[in-house]
Amino acid sequence: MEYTKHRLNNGLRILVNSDNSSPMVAINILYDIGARDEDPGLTGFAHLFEHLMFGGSVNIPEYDSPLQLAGGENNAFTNNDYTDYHLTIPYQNLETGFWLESDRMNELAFSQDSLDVQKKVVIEEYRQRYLNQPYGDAWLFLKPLAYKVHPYLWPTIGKEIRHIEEARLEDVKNFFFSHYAPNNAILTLSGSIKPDEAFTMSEKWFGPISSRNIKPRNITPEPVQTEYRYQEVERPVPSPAVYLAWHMGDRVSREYYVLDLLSDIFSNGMSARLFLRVVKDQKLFSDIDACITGDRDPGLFVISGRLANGISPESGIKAIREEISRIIDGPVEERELNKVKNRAESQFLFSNMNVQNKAINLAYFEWLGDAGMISRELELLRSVTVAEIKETARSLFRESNCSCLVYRNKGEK
Amino acid sequence: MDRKIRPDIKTVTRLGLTHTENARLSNGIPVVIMPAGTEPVCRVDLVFNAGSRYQDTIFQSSLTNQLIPEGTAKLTGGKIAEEFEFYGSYFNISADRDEADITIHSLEKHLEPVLRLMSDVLIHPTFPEEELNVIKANRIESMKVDDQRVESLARKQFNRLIFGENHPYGVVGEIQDIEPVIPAVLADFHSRFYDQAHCRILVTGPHPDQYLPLVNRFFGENWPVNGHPLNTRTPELPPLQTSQQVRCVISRPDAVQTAIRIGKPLFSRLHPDFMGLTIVNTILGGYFGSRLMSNIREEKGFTYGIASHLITLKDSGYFVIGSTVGAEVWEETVSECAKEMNRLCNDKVNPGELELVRNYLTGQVQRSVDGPFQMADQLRGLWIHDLDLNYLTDFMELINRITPEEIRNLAIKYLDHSNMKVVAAGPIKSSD
Repeated sequence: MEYTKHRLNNGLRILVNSDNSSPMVAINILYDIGARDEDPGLTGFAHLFEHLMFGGSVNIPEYDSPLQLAGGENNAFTNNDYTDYHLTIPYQNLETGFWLESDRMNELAFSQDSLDVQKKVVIEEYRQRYLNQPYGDAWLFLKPLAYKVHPYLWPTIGKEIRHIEEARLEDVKNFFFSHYAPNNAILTLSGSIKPDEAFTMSEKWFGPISSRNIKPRNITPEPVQTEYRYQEVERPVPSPAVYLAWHMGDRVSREYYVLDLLSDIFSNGMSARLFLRVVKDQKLFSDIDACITGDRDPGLFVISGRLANGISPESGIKAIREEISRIIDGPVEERELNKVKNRAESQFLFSNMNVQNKAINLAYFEWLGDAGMISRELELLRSVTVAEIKETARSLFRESNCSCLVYRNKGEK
Repeated sequence: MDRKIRPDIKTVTRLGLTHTENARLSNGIPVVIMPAGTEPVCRVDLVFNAGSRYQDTIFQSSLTNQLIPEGTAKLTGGKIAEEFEFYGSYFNISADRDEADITIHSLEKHLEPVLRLMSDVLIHPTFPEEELNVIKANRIESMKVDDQRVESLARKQFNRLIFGENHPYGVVGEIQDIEPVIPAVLADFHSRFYDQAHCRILVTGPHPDQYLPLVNRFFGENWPVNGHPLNTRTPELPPLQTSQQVRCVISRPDAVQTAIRIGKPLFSRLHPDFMGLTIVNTILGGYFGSRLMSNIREEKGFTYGIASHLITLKDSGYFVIGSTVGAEVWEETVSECAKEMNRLCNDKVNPGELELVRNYLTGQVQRSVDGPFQMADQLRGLWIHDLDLNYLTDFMELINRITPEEIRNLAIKYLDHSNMKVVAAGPIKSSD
């Protein structure tokens, strides 16, 4: 993906990808602030704040209406590491997008009403996604089992509903001025726009915003895990489930690429190992998945599955361990590795086919360190060898590096 | 520069659409080729009139669709998946009430082997019993999970009330309906509905000239006609058997929230009022700034989200409002929805709101065809009514022309809430 980069005097980085095949322009702003930056007594704040960003800014009482009037649409997400706001708008009305985004970087309206309502909305979101779904709260147990110190131990939505209820307007203001600033943000555009035009418009709307003192990041790294961890919970679910998590390297480590492919060998697609062996052949699981969390700081490699009718969690865990041994001690064919590499390559192509995804991806890689990494991602994946997969698996899947959550159905045992 | 002053907004009225080409394969299957995109990737959609409305046995349609890639005379399901995945392609199947799809996303450079395999899988499936049993068992497990979700309980009950539980559109499969399905049931459905007479093909990608010969080789020359006359008319749909019951409460004491559905039977996209009503629906609950979202989420904080939809099927359709709300406020939510529908019937929408909705919808239409596969999705949705992308041009035109009066008249005609069904599933006492 081609792009041109520029930096304003206030520290805002701007990257532009011109794509004339689209009548739209996507604008993406990534703020380098996520759940890992939260105070342990005030978790869920970065995400709650994302909701407040739609409650009006100092000069514009409402964010959504003018955007919709301009034919635009927007959304946002918060994760452990950063917060992302994106919109697409017809090229003719691009300036409205700049006007809206720059004013909410400039200063929010900070209304008590908006805070009160959004607290309720987020609490309903918490209930809908985590409490009112079978297995919905599994990660609320798994994360604090695997992390004891690092802030990844709490979920983005917050450790508990109480933290959201207790958020005060004063906290909101402090949070804004210590994290939302041009020098803590990346602005990307993709679509029918030339770089110079984008830079001129950025200078006009974002240039006058002064840089701010960003609260320094102060995260204690997670100490090396030294013993196997195990927890059980009981819930009224139809069948038990198991979650196994192992600590792995961070997003820019070599290990990330190796384990990305290993997780695909395990569970990406209908010919993946776990699906063929433990679901289809052995019929131990009705559903199984291997994934990496892909966080900026050292993350987790997770295998999780729902057990088939009448199968105990213990037999399920045993089967997963056998599959791990088959990677370490058994054959991994070149063709199998090439298959997951080919799939990663086409997935990459398919994910860069519209302006919104392109703007989001560009911002993400720039945030990781350098947008130029986008074009090196595939080379890095291509360079992974069978020997590396086996070696990395051997060191990853140590018993003392594992956290195991067993989710039993009430009445079982 | 005054930040309080909004930059000028221009209304966009022109829609950039690609020109599609129609052709027929040597066995008569109609094909549409859509030149779109710049990346060397393409997509092939095989669409069959093989949805659940045509089945004799519950789950016959969806299990036939799901079992197609699970084995041919020479290849096991695992090997078929491995081949597709090795070429970096994505093979997907889906079935709804009217149609069943087999879709492949492929790198252009591998299109030939991928289509060869796809054709073998489609024409010679063996429906192995072993694979069927695994899929049945896993489907049962995931239905058990679904049955714990208040959203799916409300959705299923709503569907029964709208169409009648024995109507081809109203039948809702339950766990006990899965067990009796055997391979012969699927092979029978496949032989009757996955043939040239029930098939259409859509190909999307940047190099249209290359696609037709390949598609013809694997789905035309390779696929002799089985005796059904081409483009057989599908059986007529019996009249709806809409339930007399207006209100239905499903009690789930363990749930944390209540899922609600409010709505009524309407019509398909072909009805002359459908387009206009789409605009009315947008104002009510069709976008983030809609009246329902503003009232129930942004003012009251009752829910994370609420939306209304016009669902169109081939020969029918319905209107539905759906949300999951705090358990203690579900009845208030229902009455607020009624209030919002009344307001649309009583008061003309003001010019400011109408301008906003016009521009928002115009942007949506543009976004909906931005990118080759988005365009394919749009055409795919219109196809069932023999419409093409020109429908969107007409829609753009209506968006810019419709008046507040016409909007109110459509609301009066179709959004009278007194005859709507209300379904609620949640921690509600049965005496409610």
